[in-house]
Amino acid sequence: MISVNLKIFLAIITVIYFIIILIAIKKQTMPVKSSVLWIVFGVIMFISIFITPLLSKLCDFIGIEKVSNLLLFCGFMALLILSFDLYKLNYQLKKKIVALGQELALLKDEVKNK
Amino acid sequence: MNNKKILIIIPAYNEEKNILSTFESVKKYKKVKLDYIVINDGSKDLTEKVLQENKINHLTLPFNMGIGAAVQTGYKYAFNNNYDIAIQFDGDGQHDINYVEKLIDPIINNKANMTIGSRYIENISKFKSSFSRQLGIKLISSFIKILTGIKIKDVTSGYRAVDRTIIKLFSLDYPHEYPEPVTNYSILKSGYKVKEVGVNMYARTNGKSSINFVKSIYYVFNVFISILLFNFKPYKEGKK
Repeated sequence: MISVNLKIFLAIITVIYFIIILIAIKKQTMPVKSSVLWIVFGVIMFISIFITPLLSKLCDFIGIEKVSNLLLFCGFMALLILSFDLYKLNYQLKKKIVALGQELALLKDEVKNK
Repeated sequence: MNNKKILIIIPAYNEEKNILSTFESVKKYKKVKLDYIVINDGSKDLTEKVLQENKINHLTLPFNMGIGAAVQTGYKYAFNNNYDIAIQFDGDGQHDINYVEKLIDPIINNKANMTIGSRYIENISKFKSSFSRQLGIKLISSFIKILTGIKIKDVTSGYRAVDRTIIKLFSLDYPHEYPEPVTNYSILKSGYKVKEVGVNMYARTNGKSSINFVKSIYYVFNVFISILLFNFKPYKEGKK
Protein backbone atom coordinates (compact mmCIF):
# COMPACT_ATOMS: atom_id res chain seq x y z
CA MET A 1 0.00 0.00 0.00
CA ILE A 2 1.03 3.61 -0.56
CA SER A 3 1.09 5.80 2.56
CA VAL A 4 -1.07 8.95 2.78
CA ASN A 5 2.06 11.12 2.92
CA LEU A 6 3.39 9.56 -0.29
CA LYS A 7 -0.01 10.00 -1.95
CA ILE A 8 0.00 13.72 -1.10
CA PHE A 9 3.61 14.05 -2.31
CA LEU A 10 2.85 12.29 -5.61
CA ALA A 11 -0.31 14.39 -6.07
CA ILE A 12 1.71 17.61 -5.63
CA ILE A 13 4.32 16.36 -8.14
CA THR A 14 1.56 15.57 -10.63
CA VAL A 15 -0.03 19.02 -10.20
CA ILE A 16 3.38 20.66 -10.79
CA TYR A 17 3.76 18.46 -13.89
CA PHE A 18 0.37 19.70 -15.18
CA ILE A 19 1.36 23.32 -14.58
CA ILE A 20 4.62 22.83 -16.55
CA ILE A 21 2.69 21.26 -19.46
CA LEU A 22 0.13 24.09 -19.49
CA ILE A 23 2.84 26.76 -19.42
CA ALA A 24 4.61 25.01 -22.32
CA ILE A 25 1.38 24.96 -24.35
CA LYS A 26 0.65 28.61 -23.52
CA LYS A 27 4.17 29.71 -24.52
CA GLN A 28 3.85 27.55 -27.66
CA THR A 29 7.07 25.69 -26.90
CA MET A 30 5.10 22.47 -27.27
CA PRO A 31 2.59 21.72 -30.04
CA VAL A 32 -0.98 21.16 -28.84
CA LYS A 33 -1.11 17.93 -30.86
CA SER A 34 1.65 16.17 -28.90
CA SER A 35 0.64 17.80 -25.59
CA VAL A 36 -2.46 15.57 -25.54
CA LEU A 37 -0.17 12.59 -24.98
CA TRP A 38 1.58 14.30 -22.07
CA ILE A 39 -1.73 15.37 -20.51
CA VAL A 40 -3.11 11.82 -20.76
CA PHE A 41 0.13 10.60 -19.19
CA GLY A 42 -0.40 13.06 -16.27
CA VAL A 43 -4.05 12.08 -15.82
CA ILE A 44 -3.06 8.39 -15.61
CA MET A 45 -0.39 9.31 -13.03
CA PHE A 46 -2.91 11.28 -10.98
CA ILE A 47 -5.62 8.59 -11.03
CA SER A 48 -3.06 5.87 -10.23
CA ILE A 49 -2.31 7.54 -6.88
CA PHE A 50 -5.91 7.17 -5.68
CA ILE A 51 -6.78 3.70 -6.96
CA THR A 52 -4.20 1.68 -5.07
CA PRO A 53 -6.59 -1.24 -4.21
CA LEU A 54 -7.16 -1.77 -7.93
CA LEU A 55 -3.45 -1.46 -8.58
CA SER A 56 -2.76 -4.01 -5.82
CA LYS A 57 -4.92 -6.50 -7.65
CA LEU A 58 -3.09 -5.71 -10.89
CA CYS A 59 0.21 -6.27 -9.05
CA ASP A 60 -0.98 -9.69 -7.86
CA PHE A 61 -2.08 -10.55 -11.38
CA ILE A 62 1.21 -9.57 -13.01
CA GLY A 63 3.37 -10.87 -10.16
CA ILE A 64 4.84 -7.59 -8.93
CA GLU A 65 5.20 -7.42 -5.13
CA LYS A 66 4.49 -3.74 -4.42
CA VAL A 67 2.33 -1.04 -6.04
CA SER A 68 5.27 1.40 -5.93
CA ASN A 69 7.28 -1.07 -8.02
CA LEU A 70 4.43 -1.26 -10.52
CA LEU A 71 4.27 2.54 -10.78
CA LEU A 72 8.04 2.71 -11.22
CA PHE A 73 7.90 0.03 -13.91
CA CYS A 74 5.05 1.84 -15.73
CA GLY A 75 6.97 5.11 -15.53
CA PHE A 76 10.09 3.41 -16.92
CA MET A 77 8.16 1.84 -19.80
CA ALA A 78 6.43 5.14 -20.62
CA LEU A 79 9.79 6.95 -20.70
CA LEU A 80 11.29 4.21 -22.87
CA ILE A 81 8.47 4.53 -25.40
CA LEU A 82 8.69 8.32 -25.37
CA SER A 83 12.49 8.34 -25.80
CA PHE A 84 12.17 5.88 -28.71
CA ASP A 85 9.52 8.12 -30.26
CA LEU A 86 11.76 11.18 -29.83
CA TYR A 87 14.73 9.28 -31.31
CA LYS A 88 12.67 8.45 -34.40
CA LEU A 89 11.51 12.06 -34.69
CA ASN A 90 15.09 13.28 -34.31
CA TYR A 91 16.27 10.99 -37.12
CA GLN A 92 13.43 12.08 -39.42
CA LEU A 93 14.29 15.73 -38.77
CA LYS A 94 17.98 15.06 -39.41
CA LYS A 95 17.15 13.53 -42.81
CA LYS A 96 14.99 16.53 -43.70
CA ILE A 97 17.70 19.00 -42.65
CA VAL A 98 20.29 17.16 -44.77
CA ALA A 99 17.93 17.21 -47.79
CA LEU A 100 17.36 20.94 -47.26
CA GLY A 101 21.11 21.56 -46.96
CA GLN A 102 21.73 19.69 -50.21
CA GLU A 103 19.01 21.65 -52.01
CA LEU A 104 20.43 24.91 -50.65
CA ALA A 105 23.93 24.09 -51.96
CA LEU A 106 22.55 23.13 -55.39
CA LEU A 107 20.35 26.23 -55.62
CA LYS A 108 23.22 28.51 -54.58
CA ASP A 109 25.27 27.01 -57.41
CA GLU A 110 22.44 27.58 -59.91
CA VAL A 111 22.08 31.22 -58.81
CA LYS A 112 25.86 31.74 -58.96
CA ASN A 113 26.03 30.39 -62.53
CA LYS A 114 23.11 32.49 -63.86
CA MET B 1 36.59 7.92 -77.16
CA ASN B 2 32.92 8.73 -76.63
CA ASN B 3 30.42 11.56 -76.58
CA LYS B 4 29.06 10.86 -73.11
CA LYS B 5 28.82 13.64 -70.54
CA ILE B 6 31.01 12.55 -67.66
CA LEU B 7 31.24 14.10 -64.21
CA ILE B 8 33.79 13.46 -61.47
CA ILE B 9 32.32 13.98 -58.00
CA ILE B 10 35.00 14.89 -55.46
CA PRO B 11 33.75 14.99 -51.85
CA ALA B 12 36.06 16.93 -49.54
CA TYR B 13 35.96 17.41 -45.79
CA ASN B 14 38.87 19.27 -44.20
CA GLU B 15 41.10 18.62 -47.20
CA GLU B 16 42.95 21.96 -47.37
CA LYS B 17 46.28 20.13 -47.88
CA ASN B 18 45.07 17.59 -50.48
CA ILE B 19 42.31 19.19 -52.50
CA LEU B 20 44.52 21.35 -54.73
CA SER B 21 46.76 18.46 -55.80
CA THR B 22 43.68 16.27 -56.37
CA PHE B 23 42.13 19.00 -58.51
CA GLU B 24 45.35 19.48 -60.48
CA SER B 25 45.60 15.75 -61.21
CA VAL B 26 42.00 15.78 -62.53
CA LYS B 27 42.67 18.91 -64.57
CA LYS B 28 45.82 17.42 -66.14
CA TYR B 29 44.05 14.23 -67.17
CA LYS B 30 43.22 14.49 -70.88
CA LYS B 31 42.47 10.91 -71.97
CA VAL B 32 38.77 11.38 -71.32
CA LYS B 33 36.76 14.60 -71.47
CA LEU B 34 35.60 15.19 -67.93
CA ASP B 35 33.72 17.77 -65.92
CA TYR B 36 34.25 17.87 -62.20
CA ILE B 37 32.52 19.12 -59.08
CA VAL B 38 34.03 19.31 -55.61
CA ILE B 39 31.54 18.94 -52.77
CA ASN B 40 32.88 20.82 -49.76
CA ASP B 41 31.19 18.99 -46.92
CA GLY B 42 31.10 21.88 -44.44
CA SER B 43 34.87 21.82 -43.92
CA LYS B 44 36.12 23.64 -40.83
CA ASP B 45 39.62 24.24 -42.20
CA LEU B 46 40.68 26.35 -45.19
CA THR B 47 39.26 24.02 -47.88
CA GLU B 48 36.68 26.62 -48.93
CA LYS B 49 39.37 29.30 -49.25
CA VAL B 50 41.57 27.00 -51.38
CA LEU B 51 38.59 26.20 -53.62
CA GLN B 52 37.65 29.86 -54.07
CA GLU B 53 41.20 31.18 -54.59
CA ASN B 54 41.90 28.57 -57.27
CA LYS B 55 38.48 29.01 -58.89
CA ILE B 56 37.72 25.33 -58.47
CA ASN B 57 34.13 24.46 -59.40
CA HIS B 58 32.46 23.46 -56.13
CA LEU B 59 29.33 23.22 -54.04
CA THR B 60 29.48 24.04 -50.35
CA LEU B 61 27.19 22.24 -47.95
CA PRO B 62 26.05 24.51 -45.10
CA PHE B 63 27.35 22.09 -42.44
CA ASN B 64 29.17 18.77 -42.25
CA MET B 65 26.69 16.10 -43.38
CA GLY B 66 28.97 13.11 -43.80
CA ILE B 67 30.42 11.40 -46.86
CA GLY B 68 27.12 9.79 -47.92
CA ALA B 69 25.19 13.05 -48.05
CA ALA B 70 28.11 14.83 -49.74
CA VAL B 71 28.37 12.21 -52.48
CA GLN B 72 24.59 12.18 -52.93
CA THR B 73 24.72 15.95 -53.49
CA GLY B 74 27.15 15.20 -56.31
CA TYR B 75 24.72 12.66 -57.79
CA LYS B 76 21.88 15.20 -57.55
CA TYR B 77 24.10 17.68 -59.38
CA ALA B 78 24.92 15.04 -62.03
CA PHE B 79 21.25 14.19 -62.49
CA ASN B 80 20.12 17.84 -62.67
CA ASN B 81 22.80 18.59 -65.26
CA ASN B 82 22.08 15.51 -67.41
CA TYR B 83 25.35 13.66 -66.99
CA ASP B 84 25.55 10.17 -68.51
CA ILE B 85 28.28 8.88 -66.21
CA ALA B 86 29.30 9.97 -62.72
CA ILE B 87 32.56 9.00 -61.06
CA GLN B 88 33.21 9.17 -57.33
CA PHE B 89 36.73 10.31 -56.61
CA ASP B 90 38.10 11.01 -53.13
CA GLY B 91 39.42 14.46 -52.39
CA ASP B 92 42.21 13.13 -50.18
CA GLY B 93 44.50 12.11 -53.05
CA GLN B 94 44.11 8.33 -52.60
CA HIS B 95 42.65 7.64 -56.02
CA ASP B 96 44.71 7.53 -59.19
CA ILE B 97 43.08 9.55 -61.98
CA ASN B 98 44.91 7.55 -64.67
CA TYR B 99 42.44 4.68 -64.22
CA VAL B 100 39.32 6.68 -65.08
CA GLU B 101 39.29 5.46 -68.68
CA LYS B 102 39.52 1.85 -67.55
CA LEU B 103 36.85 2.43 -64.89
CA ILE B 104 34.25 3.85 -67.28
CA ASP B 105 34.99 1.49 -70.18
CA PRO B 106 32.51 -1.26 -69.08
CA ILE B 107 29.79 1.39 -68.66
CA ILE B 108 30.38 2.91 -72.08
CA ASN B 109 30.27 -0.58 -73.64
CA ASN B 110 27.06 -1.42 -71.74
CA LYS B 111 28.74 -4.20 -69.82
CA ALA B 112 28.01 -2.66 -66.43
CA ASN B 113 25.72 -0.13 -64.73
CA MET B 114 28.31 0.42 -62.04
CA THR B 115 32.04 -0.20 -61.85
CA ILE B 116 34.13 -0.39 -58.70
CA GLY B 117 37.80 0.53 -58.68
CA SER B 118 39.50 -2.29 -56.81
CA ARG B 119 42.84 -2.54 -55.00
CA TYR B 120 42.50 -6.29 -54.65
CA ILE B 121 42.35 -7.49 -58.24
CA GLU B 122 44.94 -7.52 -61.04
CA ASN B 123 47.62 -6.69 -58.44
CA ILE B 124 47.93 -3.09 -59.61
CA SER B 125 47.73 -1.22 -56.32
CA LYS B 126 50.59 -1.50 -53.85
CA PHE B 127 48.51 0.24 -51.20
CA LYS B 128 46.10 -2.26 -49.63
CA SER B 129 44.96 -0.49 -46.42
CA SER B 130 45.50 -1.54 -42.78
CA PHE B 131 45.14 -5.14 -41.55
CA SER B 132 41.99 -4.44 -39.50
CA ARG B 133 40.36 -2.69 -42.41
CA GLN B 134 41.29 -5.45 -44.85
CA LEU B 135 39.78 -7.99 -42.45
CA GLY B 136 36.59 -5.92 -42.27
CA ILE B 137 36.48 -5.67 -46.07
CA LYS B 138 36.86 -9.47 -46.40
CA LEU B 139 34.05 -10.08 -43.91
CA ILE B 140 31.67 -7.69 -45.66
CA SER B 141 32.69 -9.05 -49.05
CA SER B 142 31.91 -12.64 -47.93
CA PHE B 143 28.60 -11.51 -46.47
CA ILE B 144 27.56 -9.95 -49.80
CA LYS B 145 28.74 -13.09 -51.64
CA ILE B 146 26.48 -15.23 -49.43
CA LEU B 147 23.49 -12.96 -50.05
CA THR B 148 23.95 -12.31 -53.77
CA GLY B 149 26.32 -15.02 -55.02
CA ILE B 150 28.63 -12.31 -56.42
CA LYS B 151 32.04 -11.51 -54.99
CA ILE B 152 33.13 -7.91 -54.79
CA LYS B 153 36.65 -7.82 -53.39
CA ASP B 154 37.08 -4.11 -52.69
CA VAL B 155 33.65 -3.58 -51.26
CA THR B 156 34.41 -0.29 -49.47
CA SER B 157 36.13 1.35 -52.44
CA GLY B 158 34.98 4.91 -52.98
CA TYR B 159 36.44 4.98 -56.50
CA ARG B 160 33.37 4.08 -58.53
CA ALA B 161 31.58 4.98 -61.74
CA VAL B 162 27.87 4.70 -62.47
CA ASP B 163 25.62 5.16 -65.48
CA ARG B 164 22.61 7.46 -65.87
CA THR B 165 20.17 4.91 -64.39
CA ILE B 166 22.18 4.59 -61.19
CA ILE B 167 22.77 8.37 -61.06
CA LYS B 168 19.00 8.78 -60.90
CA LEU B 169 18.61 6.10 -58.23
CA PHE B 170 21.39 7.56 -56.08
CA SER B 171 20.12 11.11 -56.45
CA LEU B 172 16.76 9.99 -55.06
CA ASP B 173 17.95 7.56 -52.42
CA TYR B 174 21.49 7.13 -51.16
CA PRO B 175 22.44 5.75 -47.75
CA HIS B 176 24.20 8.30 -45.58
CA GLU B 177 25.74 5.60 -43.43
CA TYR B 178 28.23 3.08 -44.89
CA PRO B 179 27.25 4.11 -48.44
CA GLU B 180 29.75 2.08 -50.51
CA PRO B 181 29.15 -1.48 -49.22
CA VAL B 182 25.42 -0.90 -48.80
CA THR B 183 24.96 0.48 -52.32
CA ASN B 184 27.17 -2.25 -53.81
CA TYR B 185 24.82 -4.78 -52.27
CA SER B 186 21.64 -2.86 -53.12
CA ILE B 187 22.63 -2.38 -56.76
CA LEU B 188 23.46 -6.07 -57.13
CA LYS B 189 20.28 -7.09 -55.35
CA SER B 190 18.20 -4.82 -57.61
CA GLY B 191 19.48 -6.68 -60.65
CA TYR B 192 21.95 -4.17 -62.08
CA LYS B 193 25.30 -5.16 -63.54
CA VAL B 194 28.34 -4.44 -61.39
CA LYS B 195 31.93 -4.93 -62.51
CA GLU B 196 35.11 -4.64 -60.49
CA VAL B 197 38.07 -3.03 -62.23
CA GLY B 198 41.66 -3.11 -61.05
CA VAL B 199 42.96 0.38 -60.17
CA ASN B 200 45.84 1.98 -58.36
CA MET B 201 45.35 3.73 -55.04
CA TYR B 202 47.74 5.63 -52.82
CA ALA B 203 48.05 5.92 -49.07
CA ARG B 204 46.91 9.27 -47.68
CA THR B 205 49.68 11.84 -47.90
CA ASN B 206 48.15 14.35 -45.49
CA GLY B 207 45.53 14.17 -42.75
CA LYS B 208 43.93 11.21 -41.04
CA SER B 209 41.54 8.61 -42.41
CA SER B 210 38.05 8.84 -40.97
CA ILE B 211 38.11 5.14 -40.05
CA ASN B 212 40.28 3.91 -37.13
CA PHE B 213 40.63 0.43 -35.58
CA VAL B 214 37.67 0.62 -33.19
CA LYS B 215 35.51 2.21 -35.86
CA SER B 216 36.36 -0.54 -38.35
CA ILE B 217 35.05 -3.26 -35.98
CA TYR B 218 31.92 -1.24 -35.31
CA TYR B 219 31.73 -0.53 -39.04
CA VAL B 220 31.50 -4.22 -40.03
CA PHE B 221 28.56 -4.96 -37.71
CA ASN B 222 26.73 -1.84 -38.78
CA VAL B 223 27.25 -2.67 -42.45
CA PHE B 224 25.80 -6.15 -41.86
CA ILE B 225 22.68 -4.60 -40.30
CA SER B 226 22.38 -1.92 -43.00
CA ILE B 227 22.67 -4.54 -45.75
CA LEU B 228 19.98 -6.69 -44.16
CA LEU B 229 17.75 -3.65 -43.68
CA PHE B 230 17.98 -2.81 -47.38
CA ASN B 231 15.76 -5.84 -48.09
CA PHE B 232 12.90 -4.02 -46.36
CA LYS B 233 13.37 -0.96 -48.56
CA PRO B 234 14.65 -2.01 -52.01
CA TYR B 235 15.15 0.36 -54.92
CA LYS B 236 11.75 0.87 -56.53
CA GLU B 237 13.20 1.03 -60.02
CA GLY B 238 15.19 -2.16 -59.56
CA LYS B 239 15.13 -4.60 -62.42
CA LYS B 240 14.27 -7.58 -60.22
